[in-house]
Amino acid sequence: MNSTVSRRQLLGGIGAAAVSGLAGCAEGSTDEPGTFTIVPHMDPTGAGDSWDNWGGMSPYWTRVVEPLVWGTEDMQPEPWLATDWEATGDTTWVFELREGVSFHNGEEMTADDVVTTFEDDILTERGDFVYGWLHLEPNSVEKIDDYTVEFENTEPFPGFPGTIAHNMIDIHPPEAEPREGNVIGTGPFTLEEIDNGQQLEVAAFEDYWGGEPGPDSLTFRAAEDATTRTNLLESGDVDIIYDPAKSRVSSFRADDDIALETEQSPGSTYVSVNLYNEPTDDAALRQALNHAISQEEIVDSLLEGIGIAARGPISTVIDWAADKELPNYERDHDAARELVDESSYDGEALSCLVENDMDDGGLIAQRLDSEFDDIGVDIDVEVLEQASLDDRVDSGEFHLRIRGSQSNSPAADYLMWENFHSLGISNIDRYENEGTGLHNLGGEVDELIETGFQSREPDEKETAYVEAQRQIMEGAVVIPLYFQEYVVAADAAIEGIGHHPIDRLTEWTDLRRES
Amino acid sequence: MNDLVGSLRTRYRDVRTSRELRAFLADPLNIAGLAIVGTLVIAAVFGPLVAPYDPAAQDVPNRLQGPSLAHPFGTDQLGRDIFSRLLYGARLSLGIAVLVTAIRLVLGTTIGVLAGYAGGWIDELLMRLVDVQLAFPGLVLALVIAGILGPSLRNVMIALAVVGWASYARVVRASVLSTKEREFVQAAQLMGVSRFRITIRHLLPNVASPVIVLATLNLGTVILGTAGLSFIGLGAQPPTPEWGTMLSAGRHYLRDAWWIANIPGVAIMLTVLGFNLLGDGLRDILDPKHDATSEKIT
Repeated sequence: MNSTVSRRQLLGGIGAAAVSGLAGCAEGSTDEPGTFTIVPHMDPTGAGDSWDNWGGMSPYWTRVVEPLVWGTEDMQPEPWLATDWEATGDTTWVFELREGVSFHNGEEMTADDVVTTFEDDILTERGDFVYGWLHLEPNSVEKIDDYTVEFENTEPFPGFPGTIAHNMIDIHPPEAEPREGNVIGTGPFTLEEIDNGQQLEVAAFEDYWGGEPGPDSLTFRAAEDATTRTNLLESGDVDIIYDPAKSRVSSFRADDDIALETEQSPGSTYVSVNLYNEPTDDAALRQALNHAISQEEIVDSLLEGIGIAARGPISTVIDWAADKELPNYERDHDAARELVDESSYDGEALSCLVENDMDDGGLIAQRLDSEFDDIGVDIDVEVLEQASLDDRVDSGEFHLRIRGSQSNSPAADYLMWENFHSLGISNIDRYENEGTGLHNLGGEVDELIETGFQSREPDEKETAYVEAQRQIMEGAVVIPLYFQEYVVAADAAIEGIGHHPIDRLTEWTDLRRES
Repeated sequence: MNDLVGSLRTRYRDVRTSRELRAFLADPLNIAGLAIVGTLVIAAVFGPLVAPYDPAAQDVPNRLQGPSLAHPFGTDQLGRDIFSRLLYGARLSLGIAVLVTAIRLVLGTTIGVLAGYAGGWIDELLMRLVDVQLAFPGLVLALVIAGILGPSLRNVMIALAVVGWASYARVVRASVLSTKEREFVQAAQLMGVSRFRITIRHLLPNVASPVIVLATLNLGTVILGTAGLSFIGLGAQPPTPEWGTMLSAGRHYLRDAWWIANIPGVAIMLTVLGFNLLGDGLRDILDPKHDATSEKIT
C-alpha cells in the first residue's frame, strides 16, 4: 500500500510532536515551600573543568562542602570549621577546630581529617599550583591534638587564613573521594543527585553544626547563557538566577514579581598592557590610551549601569584597595593625542585580545577601538578562546588584553602579587628567562608588593599596597574599566538570600518562600 | 550545404534558449529568487555608495534606537546604523560566497574530470577520497578546521572551501563517465585529438549545467555556513559588519531591541532562500531529466 502524506500534514505532525516534546521536557519550579531552584552563572555540575569539579559537583554555591575559614561581608576571615587561629611563628599557624561538627556520613570531624584532607588530597592531588597559592608543601600539616592542627608555610604568609577561606579548600573524611563523585562534606546540604551538564540536587543536612537549614532541598540548574537564565526566571521555571541578561535588568527593576539585588564583588575588569612589547613599552602611549576612554560611559551605557567606574585595578570591596588616591585619567582626547605624538607610536595596529567567553568583552573592545581610533591609535581586536589566548599571552605576542581579575577568598593579596610582581604568575616565566615580564614595573613596585604581602599590620599593608597601585597607575600599566558587580534576580516571594561579595560564598540556609 | 546546417543549428539553439528562458520566467518562484539575488548583488556592489553612515561609526548616546527615518533598521548596542552595516555586510557575505564556491567548483570539477576520464586506479583513489570527505558532516568539519586555524574570515573561507568540493567531484565524474562514451568523444579520440582538448572542448561543456545548478545552490549554503561560524565566534572579528556576527551580538537583546538580531537574521534567511529558488529554477531548465514531481512525499 502506498499512502500519500501531504507536506502540510507532515509539518503539522512534526509541529505537534515538537510541542508535546517541549511540554514533556519542561520542569517548572515546584513552588513547594521548602524547595528552590537556583541558576548560577557557571555550570554547577562543574562539567568540563577538572580542577574545581568534585565528581560532577562544583564546590561553589552548592554548600555541600566547607573550608576551615569563611569570609565576612567585609572580606575578613571568619571562623567556620576552625574556631580560632594564631600565628605561632613567622611561618607557622595553629588552628583550633570546632567540636561537634558531623560529616554527612555521621562521623565527627577531627584533626586527623584535616591532616589527611591537606596531605592526601589538597597538597598531592590538585596540582602544583596549590603550593604557590597556599604557600604550603606536602608534609607541612600536623595534628597537635584531636581539635588542634599546625600548618607550616614555606615563607611568611600573613594572608594564609583568608586564603584558605575558599570553597576548594574543603575538609572531608578519608573515605570520601570527591574526584570520583563520593562527596562527603560538613555543609548544610548533602549531595543527592547529579545530572551532568544539566542540574544537581542537594537536600538539607539535619545534623549541620550551624543548625538545620531552612530549605528542604535545592536544585542548581546549568544555564551559562544569560538570556537562557533570564527566560527561565521569567517563565517561572526557576526561583533565583545570577547575572540575568543586562538588556533585561531595567525591565526586571520595574517588575513587582521579581526582586533584583546588585552586589559589588572583589573583581575588576581592566585592560592589561604588555610593558615589554613595542610600542606599548612607551609610558606616554599607555597614558594616552588611559586618557582616551570614559569608564563612566562604559558602565552607564554598555553595561546598563551594572558595575562601578574604576580608577585602579583592585576592587574597592577589598580594604587595601586604592581608588581615590590614584591618578585620574579623565577622558581627554586632545591630551591623549599630544601624548601619542610624544610617544614612539608609528601607526602600527596594536593587538587587543579578548577571551570569547568574557561577557561584554567584545563590546568593550569595539568601544575602545573607536575611542583609540579618535586619538590616532589603531587596534586589531582578536576574540580568542581561552587556550589560544593563553598561548598568545605566554609568548608575549600582544599589546593589550581585556581581562577580569577576581578573588574568590577574603585574602586578595594574590591579585597584586600574581599580576604585578615580577615573580607573579603573569610575569615570572618571561622575567626569569628574559629579564622582562608582562605587567611588572619591577624595582620599587616589587618591594612594595612584597611589603604588603608579608605585613601583619593592616595599616602597613594598606600603605604599601596603595603606593604600589599609585605607581602602577602612574605608569599606566593597566587601563582600568570597572569594578565588577553581580546581579541576583529572584521570585519576589523568596526571602533570605544571603548576598555576599564573593557570590560563590552565598549561603542558602535562611531561604524561605512567603506564603 | 554547410551554411544551411549551421543556420538551422543556430536557429534551433535560439528557439530552445528562448523557450527555456520563457519557462524560467513563467515561474514566480524563479522571479522571486532572481529578484532577491539581484537585490543582494546591487547592495553588494553599490551599498557602500548609498549607505547613510560609516558602518563602524559609533554613536553611544543613540544606542538601541528602533527603526526610524534616520536609521531605517535601527541602531545597535554601540549606536551604529544597522542598515549601513547590513549593506557593507552584503558585500562581505556575497564576496565570501562567490570565492568559496569558486574554489570548491574548480577543485571539485578538476578531481571529477580526472577521475571520470582517467578511470582505473586514479578513479578509485579519487572517489575514495571523495567518500572520506563526504563521510564527515560538512559544517562540523568546517568548525573543526576553523577552530584549529583560529578565528578569522580568511580561515572560515579556507574551512568552508576545504569541506565542500566533494559533491562537485561526484556530479562531474558521473557526467564525464556518460559523456566520454558518446560518439562525438570517441570520434575525437579516433581523430587523435589530445585528451586535454577533448576535456576542454567536449567534456566540460557537457558538465556545465549540473555544476552551475550546484554552485547556485551552494552560494546560499556558504553564506549560511559563514554566518554560522561567525555566530559562534570563529569568523569575522569585531567590528567587521558580518551578518552572523551582527546576529550573535544581538541575541541578548531579542526582547528589548529585536532589530539587532532579527534584521541580519532575516537578511541571511532571504539570501539563502533567494539562491535556493534560483538554483531550483536553473535546475528545472538546465536539467530536463529532473522531475519536479519526484519531490512529492510518498
